[in-house]
Amino acid sequence: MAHGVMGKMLFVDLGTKQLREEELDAKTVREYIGGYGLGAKILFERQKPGVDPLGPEAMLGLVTGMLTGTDAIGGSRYVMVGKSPLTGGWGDANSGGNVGPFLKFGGYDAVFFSGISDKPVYLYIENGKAELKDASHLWGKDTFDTEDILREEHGKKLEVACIGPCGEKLSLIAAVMNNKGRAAGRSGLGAVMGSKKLKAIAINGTLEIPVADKEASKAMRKRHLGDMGPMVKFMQEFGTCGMLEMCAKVDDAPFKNWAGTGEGDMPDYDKIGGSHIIAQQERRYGCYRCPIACGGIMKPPAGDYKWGEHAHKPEYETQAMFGTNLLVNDVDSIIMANDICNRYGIDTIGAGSAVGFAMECFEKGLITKDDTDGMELKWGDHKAALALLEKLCRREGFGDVLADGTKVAAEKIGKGSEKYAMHAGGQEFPAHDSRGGYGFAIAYCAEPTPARHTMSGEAPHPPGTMPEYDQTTFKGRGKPHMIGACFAQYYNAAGLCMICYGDGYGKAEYFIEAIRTITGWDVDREEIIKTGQRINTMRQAFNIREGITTPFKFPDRMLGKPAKTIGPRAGITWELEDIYTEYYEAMGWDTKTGKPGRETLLELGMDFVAEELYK
Amino acid sequence: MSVEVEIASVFRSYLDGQKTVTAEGGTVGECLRYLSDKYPMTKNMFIDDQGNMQNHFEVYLNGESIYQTGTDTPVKEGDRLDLVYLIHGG
Repeated sequence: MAHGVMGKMLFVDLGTKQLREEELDAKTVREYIGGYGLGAKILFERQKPGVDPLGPEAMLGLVTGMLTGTDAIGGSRYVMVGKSPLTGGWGDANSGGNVGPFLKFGGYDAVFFSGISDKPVYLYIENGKAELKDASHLWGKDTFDTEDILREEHGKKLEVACIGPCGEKLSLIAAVMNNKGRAAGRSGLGAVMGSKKLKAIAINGTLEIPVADKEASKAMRKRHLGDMGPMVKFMQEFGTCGMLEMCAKVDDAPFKNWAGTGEGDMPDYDKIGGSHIIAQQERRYGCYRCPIACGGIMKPPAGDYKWGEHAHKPEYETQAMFGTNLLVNDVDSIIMANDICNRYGIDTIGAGSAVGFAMECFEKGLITKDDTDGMELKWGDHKAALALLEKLCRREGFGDVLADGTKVAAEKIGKGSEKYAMHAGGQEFPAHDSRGGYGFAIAYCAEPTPARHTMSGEAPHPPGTMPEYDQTTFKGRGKPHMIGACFAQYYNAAGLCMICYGDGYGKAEYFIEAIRTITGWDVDREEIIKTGQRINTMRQAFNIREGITTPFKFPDRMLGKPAKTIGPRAGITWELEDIYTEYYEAMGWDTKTGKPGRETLLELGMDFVAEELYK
Repeated sequence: MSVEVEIASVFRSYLDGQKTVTAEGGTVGECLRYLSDKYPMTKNMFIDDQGNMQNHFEVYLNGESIYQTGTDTPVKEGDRLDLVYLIHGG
């Protein structure tokens, strides 16, 4: 058995109510690590291509990594995996909090669901035992109430991953939530969970994760804590919301559904900056054993917007999508929007983008008050934005048009509205601009899951991760980006937080040391890159088999067609093929279709994938 | 040379609460080193001990990114620097 893992996966057939355990073998762990690496392998092998992502044959996984719940700094993460109903291809979403570690303390590295239950159920896990329980009393409840009720039934140390009403109503931008504000938000996997009538996974666990050298592991953590990166103090004080005014200043943040600029449309963006959010923070919030604790819990509301108890601090993405993206300069409304999304269980990026899309359609006259249940949707009108968000979450009236994201909404509205739907492959762009954002642009079009800001090979890494490269061009960027992306694939799959990797680890070698100490493997930089390439290729192979060819296309606006005329990104126009071609060459994927090359697959030891894709 | 550095509100507590500060130097790197020396709470934040710019920051000189020329970019009297912190999570 490998170290760092419990060595056990649970398979749950919700149709027959049968539960079955399988050993997680050491070879699989070393080659696919965990998280979406293990998840993609399992689904590629066991789920037929072409299945309805909301149907009984679709599988859904909650998967941890071998660093989750260990002494590795930032080992708090789990990944939801499945076929995305939003994109039709590979789907995954990553969340922190406590659920990942506690799944392992409960005895399992991963749980995979198939089938559809005839009535609402939740899975209860306790120290190596699991059973399905009736969730009729939870169906219809929001994520906060769901957690509270389950804790009353199973004790206050219980950890819960659950869906809210958005997942139950199969919103294609629904999230899986935990700890009342940590979200596995992307890919629409909350809808997959809802389609299975699976309300929650609830875990009590006290088991110990076996590590290769327990004493060395403790000593390592102490050492690493003493030499964290230089931005830790900033992240402790602000978290990601501290970035907004800087991202807005350089037009990295979205303005006016990506059509505007800070200078031209919202010069007072600093009104929703990190300092204003922190002024309303009651206390910091940290995921499992996190020394940074970049999250926060807000004070009780003092103004008109009445967010609930234990409302989480908005992350940068939420702050931008419900702030600058809508030209909203009211910080309270952003805190409120975040709380609404968390309670209903929906991706704040997708929801904020959908509201922005509606505002632009209204501005252009494609929809009127007759379509919007009488609402005037004007830029900057935060009251209208929140009213629309509530409708979206409840699938009421015009909200139902938006509840499946911008691609579906544009199909329903028609009239040429698709040009204002800011998505790639069905998934909404996160709040970092592709125009001028070289690393983001590559990730948004070329990764197996489109429009994701957490997959990029150029996230701030600790020194020693990436080679030097010219940051002003796509030329010569493919290989360095690929190396960074492979590190990202590895740490995401291993259950490590990307903010902790970027800020918590003073050097890349500390990350390698953490893997070695916990697993006992003689892993080195080259193995990390090769393993990361294998994981990403596995996710991409899933897409290819589903008939999804990549790169994902961008709307003209996100390529700078036409270019912005003012601000720091004025004049930028890019062609899609310039963005991704070198990266695909470095990954060993076809530059026209994204299909992993046969030789690449064999070099990575993925013979079973080669047989399937080249039969 | 004296240049003006605009400080985002979220960083001001590390630089005595100032909205703008003056830095001295002939290049961007020297100006960042000046800040590091004058305001100890920013040590290693913008620039490391070897003089390399930290990779989580973008520096803009008079509104233009200095990606291409890096810390060796020369500055002249009255120039304006912006320090932009970009991360991918959240």
